[in-house]
Amino acid sequence: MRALLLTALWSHLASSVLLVGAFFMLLLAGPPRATTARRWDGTVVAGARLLVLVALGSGIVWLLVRTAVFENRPHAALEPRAVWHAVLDTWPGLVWLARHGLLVVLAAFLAIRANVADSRNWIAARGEALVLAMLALALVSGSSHAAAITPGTLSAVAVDVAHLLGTGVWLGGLVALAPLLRAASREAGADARPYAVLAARRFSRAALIAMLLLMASGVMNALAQVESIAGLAGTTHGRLLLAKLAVLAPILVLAAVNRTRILPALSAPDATVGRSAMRRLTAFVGLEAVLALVLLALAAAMTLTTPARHGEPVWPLPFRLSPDVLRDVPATRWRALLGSQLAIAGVVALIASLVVRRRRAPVLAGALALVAVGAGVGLPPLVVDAYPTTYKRPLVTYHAGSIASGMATYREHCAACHGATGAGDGRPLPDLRSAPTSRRHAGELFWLVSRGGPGHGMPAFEGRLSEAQRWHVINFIRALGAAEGSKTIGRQVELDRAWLIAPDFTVAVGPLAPGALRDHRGRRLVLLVLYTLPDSRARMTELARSYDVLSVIGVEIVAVPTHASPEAIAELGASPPVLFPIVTDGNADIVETYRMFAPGPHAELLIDRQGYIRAIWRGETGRMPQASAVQAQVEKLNEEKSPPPFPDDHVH
Amino acid sequence: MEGTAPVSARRVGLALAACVLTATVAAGHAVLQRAEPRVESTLKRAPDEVKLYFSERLEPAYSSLRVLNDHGVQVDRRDSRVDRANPALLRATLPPLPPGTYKVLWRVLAIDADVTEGAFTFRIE
Repeated sequence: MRALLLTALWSHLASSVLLVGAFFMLLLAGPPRATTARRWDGTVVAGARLLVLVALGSGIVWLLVRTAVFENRPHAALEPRAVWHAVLDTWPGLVWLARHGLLVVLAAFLAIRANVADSRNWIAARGEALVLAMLALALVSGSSHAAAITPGTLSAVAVDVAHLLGTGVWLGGLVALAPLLRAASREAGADARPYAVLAARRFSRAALIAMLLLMASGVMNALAQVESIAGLAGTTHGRLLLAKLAVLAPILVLAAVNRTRILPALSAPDATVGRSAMRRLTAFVGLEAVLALVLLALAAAMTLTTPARHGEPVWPLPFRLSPDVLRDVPATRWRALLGSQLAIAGVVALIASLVVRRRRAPVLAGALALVAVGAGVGLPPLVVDAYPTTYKRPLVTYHAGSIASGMATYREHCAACHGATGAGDGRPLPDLRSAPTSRRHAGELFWLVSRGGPGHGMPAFEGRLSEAQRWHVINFIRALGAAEGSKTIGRQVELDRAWLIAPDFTVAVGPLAPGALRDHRGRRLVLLVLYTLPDSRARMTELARSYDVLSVIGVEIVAVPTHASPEAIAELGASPPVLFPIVTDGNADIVETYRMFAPGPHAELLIDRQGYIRAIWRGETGRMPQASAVQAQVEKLNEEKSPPPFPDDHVH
Repeated sequence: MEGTAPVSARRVGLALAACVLTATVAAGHAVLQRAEPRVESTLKRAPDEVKLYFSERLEPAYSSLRVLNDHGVQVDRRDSRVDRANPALLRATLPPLPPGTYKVLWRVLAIDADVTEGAFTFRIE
């Protein structure tokens, strides 16, 4: 019955698109004079009356099914109160109401059989119908995937509207044009042949513009909704898009043949030749319209699937291409460079073959050969193993609690082979702290941890650890790699080098409602202080005294004593008063995680407004920075012209 | 009113039920980005609220969450709502909860007219 929803959506979209095209085509052809042309005008308007009823009917079916889905009760579809609730209390419902209101007005307008013999009346009548149909179609975007994109909702909706109206002009115009050409290609319709030829020529130009608009808006839609190759190849939404492109290819070929071969033949001096060309054009236009309706069915199916950018791709290939290999295996660089240059030369030749007219075939063949050789030379070094879960989204976030949990699981199940530090401890195993391991996708590590590596003696943990436990271990492995790299981060901020993500943690202070480290993102820098009493007492007193200075320059201090205690604040004494948060709960997880970056009983880490660790003061409390030194680093951070994006909550 | 529905309406209802069941499998476009308490986390202290952050704006009329204890009994204060200031945030308050494992079930409608649902657990020590 899922087919019912798809059929309703497809019928609704198709009829809405055809309505736009019908009136656009009539206006493009102009007021009909010949009898056959007038008959075609009447046929198109009669078809439009039927189409508007189909659009309303299928729209109502769509609403009833959606109501049942919203309410999670099948019978809700038959309850007027539930249906009205869905219409009046949701944004998609209000958009539905507006669209169907327009369709009802259009239906009423078409039902009035006004006298439009006068050209101006005819243009006004068809023009008003076109405006109503276009408004109804454009409003589809109001509750589409595009409307859900934030930020940039307006531009996404504008692109989607352009895509819908472009479809209306092209597909709807094609379907409306076909009967005119068929009638004009017959002996009895000879009176309309000049009118039909003119209409076909005008449509050819309009369709070219509509097709360019469709392709441009389609690419922009794909970039917004699909985002990645993994999304394209590994999700239902992406594969439907690939199917759309596969159907589009023959349509473009047919359109090119129509435009370059058949249209010029329509004006051949011999009437017989013209008629034959018109018959061929009728057949081609009909075929193009059928393919376009298939395209629309795929588009309708896409709206029912999760957009690829939010989907969980299942990677279909046993390999993927990774430019990171060039960093890990420098010897392969020359081959990749040679291959890329050959491919670029091939692409340039390919473009040249489209421009030049002489010897086009050999140039095209040479260009394709160059691209193929370039790919053959340059791509194999970039190939790395990939798995169905390569792009799987982690179940748990990159959080100190998860890393500490993963650390415990690692010690119990993994350290015996990989060593306590992840270095392998003399075994021929990959160093888990190394850059190549850090560059593997989290989903690949998930596959290896879950399924094991039969050839390498790695057991499968799918049956021994829960999915959450496996993701905790992966977060810990990620932190191991980050900790290894963090050794290069010292007391001085390096401009434009934000890469070390500060794992989030819960800031629980006494009985107050707990917050999170990430709550400071976009607002304040954080000086994270890991301390141990009594050694850190003097330093904590110093921080309490300089808190007002640091606070003024936008720095919040978050202090985490080594041991959780509800008395942690009292233990620091009343004078000077400590006005910054002292974490009293969950300390062990935070300390264990952050000591991977800054070992020792006392350490301080400067976290920028985006959530990256930018400076670390390690070692004795006497080596900790004065307020002025922190201020100097903050001023350096303020100089950064383009702050990095906020880090994702999950590892990749 | 199910008991008084005519037979034909019931048949239509059953037909729509099948449609709905299959429709909800693939549909669904608001994705859970982050949760407080975190997905599959262990807490030392009972939380007083559940907050779910989604990828898209939610429709308040059809977006809700429930928290069940390990006996399947709903334990939240039945006040789940979409945050007024942040329409991608769904929240519900909790009474003081004893240690145990709790399941959060959520079902939301995004503004692109698709429903998403899911569940996760957290544990209080």
